[in-house]
This record gives sequence, C-alpha cells and structure tokens, in this order.
Amino acid sequence: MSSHATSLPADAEKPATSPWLSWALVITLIYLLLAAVGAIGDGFKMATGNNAKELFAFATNPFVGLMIGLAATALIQSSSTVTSIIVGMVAGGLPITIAIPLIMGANIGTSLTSTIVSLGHVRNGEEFRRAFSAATVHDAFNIVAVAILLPLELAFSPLRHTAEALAGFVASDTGVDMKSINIMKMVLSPASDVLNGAVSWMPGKIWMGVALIIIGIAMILFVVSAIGKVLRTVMVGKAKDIMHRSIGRGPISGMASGAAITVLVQSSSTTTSLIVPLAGTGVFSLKQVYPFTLGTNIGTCITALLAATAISGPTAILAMQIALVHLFFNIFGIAIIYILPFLRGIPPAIATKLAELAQRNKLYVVAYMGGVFFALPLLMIGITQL
Amino acid sequence: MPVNKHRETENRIRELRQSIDELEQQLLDTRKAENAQHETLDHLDEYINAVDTKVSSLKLFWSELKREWASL
Repeated sequence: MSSHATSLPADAEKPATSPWLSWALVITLIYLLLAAVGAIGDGFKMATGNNAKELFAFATNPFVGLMIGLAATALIQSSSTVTSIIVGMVAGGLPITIAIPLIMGANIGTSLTSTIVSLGHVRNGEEFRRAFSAATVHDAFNIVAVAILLPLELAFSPLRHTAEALAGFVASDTGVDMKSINIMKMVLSPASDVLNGAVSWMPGKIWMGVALIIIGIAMILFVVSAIGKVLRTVMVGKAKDIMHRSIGRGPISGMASGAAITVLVQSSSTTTSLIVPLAGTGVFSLKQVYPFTLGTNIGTCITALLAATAISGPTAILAMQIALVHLFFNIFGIAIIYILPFLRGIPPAIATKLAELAQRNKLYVVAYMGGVFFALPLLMIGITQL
Repeated sequence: MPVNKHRETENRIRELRQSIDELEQQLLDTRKAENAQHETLDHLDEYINAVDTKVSSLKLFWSELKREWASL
C-alpha cells in the first residue's frame, strides 16, 4: 500500500450528488450518445450520398485502416468513442470491410491509456516494472490478436460472417426489433429533429451532413467522458464487490470481473488503468492481471452494441453487424490466444521483456510508445499513399 | 527384513509429513496474499480515478527522463 500517495495524484471522488440524480444523468447521457451516433449516420449519408466507398478508398488497404483506427484511438484516448463513431459511419454507408480493420486498430489504440498511467510509477523502479508490465500485457495481447485475426479475416472473413449471421436476429432493417415497433426511432426522433433543425440553415446537403458529423463526434467525445466520470463514482462500490468476489477463483472469474466492471463503468481505459496501480503495489501478479485485462476487452464492446441500437432503417443491420464484429473479434482473440497454451504465454512474455527494458532505460518507453502508437501508423499510412 | 521395512515406513512418513508441511505453507502463503489483495481492494475508491492521472503521469515521466539524460 506504499504507492497510494506517490503514484496516484488524483484523489478519490466522493459522490456529491444523490444516486437518483446520478442515474438520471447516466440515462440522459446514454440518450445523447444514441442521438450522436444517429447524427453521425445521418450526416454521413447526407455528406457522401452513395459515395462513402469512394470517399474511403484510401482506407481500402486493411493495414491503412488498422493504423487509422490505432492512431485515432491513441489520440482520442477512448475506444468507445472511436467504435461508436465507426458504427455511425457504417450506418451512413461506410463498407464493413473497411470498418473491420478500423475496429481492430481501435482495440490496440485504447491500450495506450493504461500504459501512460503506468508512467506515474516511474520513480520507483520495481513498482514501475510491475505497473508497466501490467499495462503492456494489454497492448501485447491486442497486437497478437490482430496479428492472428486480421490475416484470417482477410482470407476467410470469419468475423464478418459470424456477425452477419447474428445481426439479423438482433436487429431488423427497421431498427432494433421489438414486436415490429421501432421504439428506438420513436424515442430518438425528438433529438434527431433538434439536430437536423440546428444544421438546416447550412447551404446544401453536403455541408449539413458535415455539420451533423462534427456535432455527433463532439457529442460522443463529451458523453463518453462524462458518462465515465459519473459511472465511476456511482459504481465504485459494485466494482469493489465484484473484485473481492473474484479473488482466488481463477482466470475465468478474473475475466468475468474485468468484463463486468467495464460494462458498469462503460470504459475499458478506466478498468485497465485501475488495475495498473494495483499491480504496481505487487499485491496482484501479472498472471492475475492478464485475464482481468482480457475481460475488459469484452466489456468495452457494450458501448458499440448500445450505439448500434440507435440506428434504424436499411443500415440498422449493418450497424449491428460492425458492433458484433467488435465483440467477436475480442471473443475469438481470447478463445485463440488464451485457450491455446502455446499462445497464452506470449503477451505476458512480451510485457515482461518490455518492462525490464523500460526499467533499465526510459528511452525504451519513448521508443515503444511513440513507435507503436504514432510513428509506425503514420509511416505505414504515408508509405501506402505514395 | 522387518527392520528395513520399518525404516522404509518411517522414511515414507517423514516424506509425507514434509509434503503436508509444504502444502500447509503454500496454503498459508496463498491466504496471506489473498488477504493482502482484499485489503488493497478495500481502498479501490483511491484507484478508480487512475485513468485521470494520464497528464500528471506523463509530466512525471518527462521530468524523470530529462533528469536521467542530464545525469548521463
């Protein structure tokens, strides 16, 4: 418990408002999130007409798409935001085949947050080594998952086909199906009318569409950040209970608790960052942190699934399909890497080695973070555009 | 032969006792580790906002990096 004061400057927030008010705020923010995703979908349709594929021709190379998703998420520091935007864009006509690598890139990009958080332990060598390995095990797992699943997806499209098969059951072309009444469209139409009204003065459909996209992205950025803050305050007690219960129950329980807490706080960055100082103290080992981190990958998919319910009309199934691709990518990743014994040890081995190097010389940290999350993506995008 | 048999049994008992002691120690260590984990989790509200320490963590790392360079 030595690291409390030194490594965590942010003080614990005590709930200043009543739980009812917090929950009312959460519901309002979810409503705004859904309205924002709908706005991006509508805006994308307006701005591109039927030319979304041509507009995103530069990202038809899957590696470019992967790098765009990675760099965008690393910059925005929120995979929930990026995946929600992607859902909106798919609803607006972005082809699924282009969106899949973007989603995979977002999965890698999101792991930068906990790696940055681990830098707060830099003054204590051993603590830093443990914290950095706990953070980078997430990066390593996500990179290995992409290295396995992206080529498989390009060759056989298992994610697209599985998501396609299931999307039809979950959504219909009139939106999320509930006894043939499009409840979501009905609920979201007031917000949609307000947003459309706000941009109606603009000259031409293209500018109206662009304005809707910008408003939608700004709203998602605000909502995801705000919802995270509110839920962290409201859910900390529940998170504590879940983690207490998972102690001593093995990796499946660890995974389940990681997923459950991420669903509760609607942010994998919060959950993976939370585990970093816990690992830094040495009380939780890398072996225990690893499955917990994988669980956060599953839990974070809830935001894109929620975002997909905002879409109605002919593209509702496609929006649900890309949200399910996100979910299946993470499920398949765990099924392949964690279940196969010869692959299971690779991410912790990479993380351990990286942490040893980081402890030895801080420049390795700069090279790793700058290289993987920014230089490599920009270089690859640049090369493919030559 | 009975003496040898007797010694063998004694040795076996000693080995088994040693194994039990080792297992008990392992169990004790696991319980100690789990108790420490529960104690740490009791302070989870101090860690839940760790995600908000990104900027301060980067600043701290940057100052450490500069200090390390200056000392070279």
